[in-house]
Amino acid sequence: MKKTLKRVFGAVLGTTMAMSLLAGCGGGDGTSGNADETYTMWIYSGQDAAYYLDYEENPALQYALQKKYGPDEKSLAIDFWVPPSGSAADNYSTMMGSGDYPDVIDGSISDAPTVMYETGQIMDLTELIPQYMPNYMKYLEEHPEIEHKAYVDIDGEKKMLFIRTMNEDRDYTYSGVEYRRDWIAKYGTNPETGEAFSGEFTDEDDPDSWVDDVVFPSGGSDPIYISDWEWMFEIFDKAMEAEGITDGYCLSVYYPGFTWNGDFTSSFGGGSPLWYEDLDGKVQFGADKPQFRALMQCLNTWYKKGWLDQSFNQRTSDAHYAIDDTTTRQGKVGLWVGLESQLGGRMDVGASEYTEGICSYGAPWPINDVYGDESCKNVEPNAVEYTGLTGTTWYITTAAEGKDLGTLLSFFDYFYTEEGALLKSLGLSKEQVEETQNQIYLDNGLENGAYSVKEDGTYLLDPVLQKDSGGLAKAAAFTMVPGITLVSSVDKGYAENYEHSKALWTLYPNKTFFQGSDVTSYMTEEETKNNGNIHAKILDYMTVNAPNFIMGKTDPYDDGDWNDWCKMLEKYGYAKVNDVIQPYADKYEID
Amino acid sequence: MMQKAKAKKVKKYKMEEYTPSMIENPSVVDRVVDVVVILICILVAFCSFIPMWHVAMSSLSNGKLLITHEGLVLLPIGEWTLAGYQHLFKNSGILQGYANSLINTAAATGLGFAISAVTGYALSRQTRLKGVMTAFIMFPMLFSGGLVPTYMVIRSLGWVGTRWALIIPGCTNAMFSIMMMNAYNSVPASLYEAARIDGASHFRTMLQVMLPQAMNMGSVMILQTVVAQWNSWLNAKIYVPNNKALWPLQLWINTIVADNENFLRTANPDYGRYLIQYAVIMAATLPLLVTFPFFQDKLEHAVIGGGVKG
Amino acid sequence: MAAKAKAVKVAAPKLSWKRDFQRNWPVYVLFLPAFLYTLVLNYTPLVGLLMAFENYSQARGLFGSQWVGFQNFIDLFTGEEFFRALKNTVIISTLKCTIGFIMPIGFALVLSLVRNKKFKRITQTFSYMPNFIAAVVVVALVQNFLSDHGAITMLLAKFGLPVQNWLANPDVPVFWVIYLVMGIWQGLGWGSIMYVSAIATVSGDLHEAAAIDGATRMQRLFKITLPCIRPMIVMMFVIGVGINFIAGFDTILLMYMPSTYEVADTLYTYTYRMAFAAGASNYGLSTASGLFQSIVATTLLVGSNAISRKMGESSLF
Repeated sequence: MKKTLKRVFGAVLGTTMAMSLLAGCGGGDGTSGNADETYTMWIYSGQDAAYYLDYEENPALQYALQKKYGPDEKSLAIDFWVPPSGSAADNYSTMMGSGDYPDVIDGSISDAPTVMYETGQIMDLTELIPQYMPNYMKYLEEHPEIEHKAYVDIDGEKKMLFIRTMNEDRDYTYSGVEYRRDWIAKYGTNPETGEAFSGEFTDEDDPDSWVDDVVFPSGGSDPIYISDWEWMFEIFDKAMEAEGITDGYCLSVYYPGFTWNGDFTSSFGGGSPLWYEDLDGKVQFGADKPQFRALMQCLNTWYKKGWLDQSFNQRTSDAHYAIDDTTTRQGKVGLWVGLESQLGGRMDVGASEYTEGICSYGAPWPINDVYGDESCKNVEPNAVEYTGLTGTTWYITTAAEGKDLGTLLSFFDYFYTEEGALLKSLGLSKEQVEETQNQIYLDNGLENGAYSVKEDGTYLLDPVLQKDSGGLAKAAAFTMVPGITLVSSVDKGYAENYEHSKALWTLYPNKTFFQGSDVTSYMTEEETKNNGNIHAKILDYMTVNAPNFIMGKTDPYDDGDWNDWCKMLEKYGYAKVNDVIQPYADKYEID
Repeated sequence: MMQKAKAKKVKKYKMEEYTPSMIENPSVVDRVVDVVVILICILVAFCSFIPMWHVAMSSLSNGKLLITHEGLVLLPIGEWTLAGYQHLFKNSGILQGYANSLINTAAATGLGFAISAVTGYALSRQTRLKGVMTAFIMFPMLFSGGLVPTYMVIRSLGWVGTRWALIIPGCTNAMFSIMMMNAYNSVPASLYEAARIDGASHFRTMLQVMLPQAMNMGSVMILQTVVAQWNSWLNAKIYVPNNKALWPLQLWINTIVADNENFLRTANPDYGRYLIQYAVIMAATLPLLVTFPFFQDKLEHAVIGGGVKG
Repeated sequence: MAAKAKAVKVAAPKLSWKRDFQRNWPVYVLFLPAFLYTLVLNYTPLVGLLMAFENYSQARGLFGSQWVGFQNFIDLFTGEEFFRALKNTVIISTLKCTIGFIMPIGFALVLSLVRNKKFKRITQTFSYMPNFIAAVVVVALVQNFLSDHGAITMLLAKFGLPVQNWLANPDVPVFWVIYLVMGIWQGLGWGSIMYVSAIATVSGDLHEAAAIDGATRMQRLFKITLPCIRPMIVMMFVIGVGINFIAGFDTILLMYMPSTYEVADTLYTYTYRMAFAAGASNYGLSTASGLFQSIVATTLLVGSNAISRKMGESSLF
């Protein structure tokens, strides 16, 4: 037995070693072959592997590569380096750490361009871009408000260290405040006249067909103020009693009692709980200000009234847009931060008796008109984390030195034209599909292309893509390239109610939250590290103690408790961070 | 007493063979012990089985209803569906993943076993450097240099992008060598002395005398290596990210789960994708669980065969 | 009665270097593969530990980053909650090394008492299953069962315990018990494999002789089986003392919350928050923390090894 065992293993080992010698040298083969120039490119993520295996097979990419680019009219091929989904950070680390970089890298998770330039990892493009990218330069000219975002200040000189993706407009986001409109319609009464509301779905099968005559105390058909919210909570209480819901609640909040970017906090006078730039350009720290106190007082009051989820601080493994998802989807929550897939009547799936007839509408972050002093009231929320007008930065690394950069940059410049932007944002048109007979499009029901052109010149997303939830859109378009991302020119086929909800989620633009923007992207590593130290300690303190204010263990209305809180925060030295960031806030803009 | 012919190398398991759990005349105390033992086993088996059942049933449930469901899933919720598995196997590369995992597992197990068996022997002999050798291989078990330095080493060996990077690093570790050392130590000195006196070299002694006796531990080690290798994906993620042809099963699985995470951020979510996270556990684990009984058979034989006699 | 069985080692006199090499060179040659493997794949990357002494910047790399000496360690030790994290790590590792250590052994012993081969085999196969369920799923199940209206909470309520979300309970020793039981549940079957096979190698002769002398199963268990696998137990314990101090804490990241930091925050989770808050990554700090933990673990290992040697048990070195 033992001899046999040993023999068997020896044989297996020998066979596999032989096999792997033959098969083991597998390398990516890319699309090189007969192209004039080949480049390598690292992108942050690829497409869903269910549609095709290698990113080189992207239909829109292949279409673009049919043309010739550059002053010498050359054809190109690109070898993509794509990390497996979910492992971009590690992949980036080993790639940069080993020094084997490709010609182009996606800057989504890279280090600051100033550092990369200093350490000789990326090239200075200040001369090259104007020379080879006329469409890019044209876009910058036509949009002076974002022109500064294409430049970095190095020792007083303005340099171009990257190519930046441009967004036609600020896009919608996928999550936001939602509330049960059907409860308002069924159990609420008109604040002026006292009459009952009416509301219903006009089409049983259409989740976006709700109509009603709901009016809020502030006068409109959407909730705008905190007072509107409190009016809603009273109605939710009535609704839950009538429906017999004993374990529901009016609203949920993120477990620390605040979100660190400022959602909801900026409703109380603007700013975020941590560091932000106020409307006068000064860097501030929010947690010891009257605005944050007003937030705490508000939540404390709501907690006492039983409106706030009594176990909010225990829901730590939930994302901020899916807090206590199970209870929400059972229809037992009145107002929550949710996803677009919960809008309208979409949650009525028969899983729970309380979701029958449910209709969720989106709402904007409210404006405070109840709590705190005058500085905390009637200010539009201004700290939010959405997409801005510019997107990813793309770098040309020093590995590309000696290569034909004219051709490469001309290729990228193509995507700043309308044609190229379409390939980048949407994919192939019907004619282009017919021309190329692209198998991937045909196999996935996109014979008519990814979009059609409407009479007014805008583009309507193909119905197949409108209904898709699995990454087909990303697989059909060449999204991972610098260029213009079309937003307002694209009609995604949203129903009116649906689009209205989404529009409310991005009602107020971001003016004060700067983490991740140019303001913080160009600091030195020493500064980032020291700020990070203080940030981590303060955040730790706040996540433990802010819920105490809300749950009543300490009292935000009591000056003594509040002063203790402020003293602790001062002790951590947040002011040092303010001083470090201020010069960057002066030099750079948030959006 | 029964005369039992105990050959040194037992080829087949004989039913009359004496086992530690055998007793001649059960007394009352024995019966009680029996009952207690059986109850404990049932409890353990039940507690172990239930979660796996929960995962299996969840993977067959209706995604829309599953997402709102609280508690254990004992039967598929709603109409049962294979949508989760369909989404999973829509990825054409996953079958190649199974093949790769098989190859890597076999190779790594073989290589790892060879190294550990040999090292364990070396550590079990009384030599002056014994302590040093043991310390040498144990020390790095508790220290790690991190991702990038390890990558650099593999890169300088030229293994990045090849199957070698998936087989050799991690095929064995200090624990296994120590386990084998322990197994060799429990072999009676008499056997060892006899072989050495007969003039056998260390290598032959090891192969023909010691190793067979230590196969019980060897089998355990093989089993653990097989499972670890089958479940591994870290090396592949770092060393062969661009060669989908070399991806093992688990890397495919992780990728597919990540690809399908965001289905709720759209207007028409396909709830079948919610089932993927459960389906992948079944897809990865079932092959192991199904082949286990066969492994255990071999283990039994190796154990009895390697039991010390005489 | 059956004599206490113990593995007898060849007691060799200490040879001179020359004689030792002459006699044992094949042994050293046999050690060569492991030596090369460990040297190249485990020792060389250790140069990465330098990160602990640097203000590590990904762009500048290992040799280009600024040297800061022990600053990272100072930052680590002067953190408010460092000692709390250390305390919890010590407590949890101790629990894992004692109760968590004994359980698989106990289960293996119980299995050895089972008379029906098939029953034993089936139990074993089932007991392996939890080992294969991903940690995320296990945590989700635990959160589910211990929530306000979870199955286990309801069960405990029948015994008079208050209904609550047990995972949010900051009282000692609730979190530790939960974490320990979860670990035992997941590792029981798989961890017992080794012991089961060690038990099976105990000489049948000894048992037979003892049975003839009238020993019961339980007596045989304690006087024969247990002593025979003692060397193995001691060895596993010595190794475990070191490993349990470092490994297995990433699950806590999924289970803890600010209200349970007092009992659940360990070195791993504490470092995670301090080094990776707000999208920044302080690799220097996290490497320093890892290095600190490794040193402690090694000390524990060497210490327990020395103690076991003094006590006359088998030891690693």
